[in-house]
Amino acid sequence: MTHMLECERLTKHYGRIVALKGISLALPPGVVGLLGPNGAGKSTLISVLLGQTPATGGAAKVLGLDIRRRQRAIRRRIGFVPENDCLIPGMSGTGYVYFAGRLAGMSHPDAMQRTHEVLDYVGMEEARYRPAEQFSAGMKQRLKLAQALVHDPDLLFLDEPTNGMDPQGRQLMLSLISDLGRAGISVLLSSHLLPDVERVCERVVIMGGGEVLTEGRLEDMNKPHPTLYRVDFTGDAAAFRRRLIDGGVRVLEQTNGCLQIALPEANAQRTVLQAARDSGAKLIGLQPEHSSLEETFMAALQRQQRA
Amino acid sequence: MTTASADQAHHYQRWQGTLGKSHWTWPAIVSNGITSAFKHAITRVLILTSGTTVLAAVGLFYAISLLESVVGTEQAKGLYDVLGTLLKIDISGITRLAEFRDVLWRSTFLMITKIQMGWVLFVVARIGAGLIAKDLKARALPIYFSKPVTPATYLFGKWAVVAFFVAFAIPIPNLISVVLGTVLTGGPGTTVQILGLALDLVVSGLMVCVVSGAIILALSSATSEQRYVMVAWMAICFLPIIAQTIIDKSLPADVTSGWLGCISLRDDIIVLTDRLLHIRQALAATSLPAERFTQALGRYVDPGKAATVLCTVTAAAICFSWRRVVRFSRMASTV
Repeated sequence: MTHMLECERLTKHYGRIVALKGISLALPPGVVGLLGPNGAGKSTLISVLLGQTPATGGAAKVLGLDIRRRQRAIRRRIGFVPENDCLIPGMSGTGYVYFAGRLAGMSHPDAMQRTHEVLDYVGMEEARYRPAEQFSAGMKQRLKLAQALVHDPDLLFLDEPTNGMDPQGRQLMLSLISDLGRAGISVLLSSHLLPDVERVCERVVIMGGGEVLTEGRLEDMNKPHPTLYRVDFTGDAAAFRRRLIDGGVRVLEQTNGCLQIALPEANAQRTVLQAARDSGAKLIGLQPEHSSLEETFMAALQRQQRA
Repeated sequence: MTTASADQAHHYQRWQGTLGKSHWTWPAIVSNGITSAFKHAITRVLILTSGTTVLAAVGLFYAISLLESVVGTEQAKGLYDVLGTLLKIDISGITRLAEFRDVLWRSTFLMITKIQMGWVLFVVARIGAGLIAKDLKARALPIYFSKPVTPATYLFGKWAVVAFFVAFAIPIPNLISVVLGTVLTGGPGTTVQILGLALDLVVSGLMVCVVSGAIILALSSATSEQRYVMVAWMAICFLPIIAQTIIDKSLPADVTSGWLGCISLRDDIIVLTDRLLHIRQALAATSLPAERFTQALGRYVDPGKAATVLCTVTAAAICFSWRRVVRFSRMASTV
């Protein structure tokens, strides 16, 4: 299987500033989220992978093509949605996408036909004939997606594609990204919005300080926590709580009929059952808490700061 | 729209076509530049009015032809005066005008070129100033450099837009003049002379395209504000002309024939056009005394030095814009 991206000790220096510190990655095809705070190196990584900025060291391949030697071949097979507007003043939506198609090397009839196909796909109706600078923020984002899709790339780089969009527009954009993933187009989605990434991505790469802090499948990151549990019960809350603490359980949060607890060790659920029996409380539910992407993200950043 | 309905509403269809060669993306840039420029009425007016030089040239060729047919008559006197005044060549009293036809045609084109240079000034300012500056201002570079467009392709495409419009201001009207003049009056002489003249006109027009295109693209890549580019372009064009005029009037001719005579790029282009059209040699080869055509040739400037100045300025402009565009291409995903 050809990886959509492969990096081997990829570094990028801007003078004394180290933007990428020996990144090593191998991402299989799919929809991948690229997360990180400002200055994490996300944009530099995209720029290097697009072949725009030469890497200082290391090696990388995009769709199996070496970024140093096959820049043009790579750009023929990728689409890029930049964060900024990048619209050409005076050009209609149709003209803009057509122009992008021609720049990608499409013939006039192909570019024209495909322009209308992708504009239909992103939901641009009659507005496509208006000057692009008159578009709303959501329409501009969809237009940028259309120009990236016009030549049918195998890999899309999306830089903050839902920026400035209203909730409805955001939903639409995310559904388009999901659909593209299902259609076999790999996507690298760079975003600050964790819910967006959680909704559409299969894998996540978390960057910080020019390094990859964590990388993996989203469902692995959302796995049940081994010691954190949520307990729903009825009965004497004070007695139940006291019994739990006596059994070595930490009570993190208490609301009416519900406790968030931390077990002293994994697989110590019996302690909870025993405490319930001893206190006369009736257990309704005992469910492990799932670690969220946000927690993983924050934990990764904290680990980096400590290091 | 709910997530589910949004998901159901879209089904991406893969494209089955094939992309062309990535080296050939520059025509798209040219085509887009030309289409955008023609949307402005000023551009259309400039292009249409540049056609008036065709009328002027053909009118002069007709006058030369007419003079040949009425030479020796009373009518000829008025035509001698008109041509002498416009071309600054004293041909009064010459009866075998057919021998002078080629040199008179070439002198006509030199005079016309001087007028056309004014058009070039405005056409280049109008078309070229925004070619890169607008892309910078609109942050439109990612659309180019995320596609298989290299800095060289981008720069060449932009230059070709300038060249297209400059061609409409100089070489194309001149070639039309040659064709019309030949059809209406029989041409400057033999077929070889006609083709030679046409080739010389194409080469001199190409020189203007290269020089003006390189300079305006360098200026356009220097800033995102189109008006600054226009001001700088006007300054580069007009200030040296003023300086050159002052120098010419205050220094002796032998001094201004060297580097001090090459300050104005416009004048340098005229000097080289003179050389490319072989006017000096053609006039010297005639039996006409030198004092009768001195005024037509203007002050003497070493063509080698003029060419050196033009080549240096053009090379510097190309290097500058190249460096800028390479820099932009590297920042394209992050601008």
